[in-house]
Amino acid sequence: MFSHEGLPEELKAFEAELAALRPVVSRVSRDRLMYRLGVQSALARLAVDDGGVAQQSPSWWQRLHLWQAAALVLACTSLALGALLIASPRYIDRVVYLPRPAAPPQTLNATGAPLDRAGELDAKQPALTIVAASRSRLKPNERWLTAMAAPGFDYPQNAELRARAPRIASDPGTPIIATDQRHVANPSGKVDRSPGATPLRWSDHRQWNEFLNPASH
Amino acid sequence: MQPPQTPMDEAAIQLVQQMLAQQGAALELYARQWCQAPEDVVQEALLRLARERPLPERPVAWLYCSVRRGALSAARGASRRQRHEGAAAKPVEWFAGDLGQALDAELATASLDDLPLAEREVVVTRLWGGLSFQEVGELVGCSSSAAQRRYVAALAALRERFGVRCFPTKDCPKS
Repeated sequence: MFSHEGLPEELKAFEAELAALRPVVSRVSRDRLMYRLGVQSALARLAVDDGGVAQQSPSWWQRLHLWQAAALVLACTSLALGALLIASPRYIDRVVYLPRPAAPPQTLNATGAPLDRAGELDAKQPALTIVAASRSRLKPNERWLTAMAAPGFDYPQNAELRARAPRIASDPGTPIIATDQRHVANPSGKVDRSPGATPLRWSDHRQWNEFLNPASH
Repeated sequence: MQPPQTPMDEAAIQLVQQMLAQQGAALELYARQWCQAPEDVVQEALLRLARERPLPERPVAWLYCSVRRGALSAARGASRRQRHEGAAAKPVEWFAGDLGQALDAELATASLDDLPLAEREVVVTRLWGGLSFQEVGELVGCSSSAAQRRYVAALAALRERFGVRCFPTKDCPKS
């Protein structure tokens, strides 16, 4: 039951004396153990007779437990996300301060509301500002429109237009500038964008006077 | 009609009977290190041995391992109950008090009980279970040399407790 291998000399005798002690007799009932062995054997035989399930080895997918599959999926997902994180470009948020641009002139109609389609103005034409005339000395049919170049809008074309623009008859000092070359404004204050509208020529003062003072002609 | 092969055959039953006769007492002594009902743990281990397919190559070491697991599990389940009943429990003798023994059984029980569990486990499996140091190391989770060192240390501690009762021998004249 025991051997003296590797023991110091003084312990060998003591080991022999200790080994002579016998543990108390086992209290395991042999009869009860045999009975339980028989029950266990009978149950196993019944399981075999019912279809041999107990003898069949589980297939590979039965051996692959759920938690193992879940761990595999999570590991693959983590690896894929890590690879994407490494491969993707990095964006760094940085605040850049730029000089504030000059406020663009606001295009208004005769009622003072912004023209919602001002963006349709031809970019090659000088941008104009149409403001509603509120001077009481203007006639009602003249009051609808006093067009002039926007102050501080220093396009060369703008200055040229201002010089060439016709003057309102009752206020010769105020130049009249149409919205653009293709569209004209009518006395109702709305921009006539119909295809048949006749554009006004800048140099034709008579046409402008007829346009602004139709009753006198 | 010849029945199909069953999980329990004659060889397994004979092995269980043999293990019960040879190792039953030592297995109970081993299981008693953790739990108060070692006979139940040993019986369950023997039933598991009968179900095991194929039969283990080293059934003694397999049984000690199975008993260890069962005893630890039983100890976890009974720990709460033991706290309430431990004070009133009657001390159980671990060894038979035969006449002619050089060592006193009660003193052996008390001395062995005083040992740390790691050393006591090695002594029981080595001395009364007959396991090799390699098997003891695999059982308790250490190397064979570590198991041997624990064994020697445990024997020295026990010998110190028994020192006055040791008979002088040629190899051990001090005692």
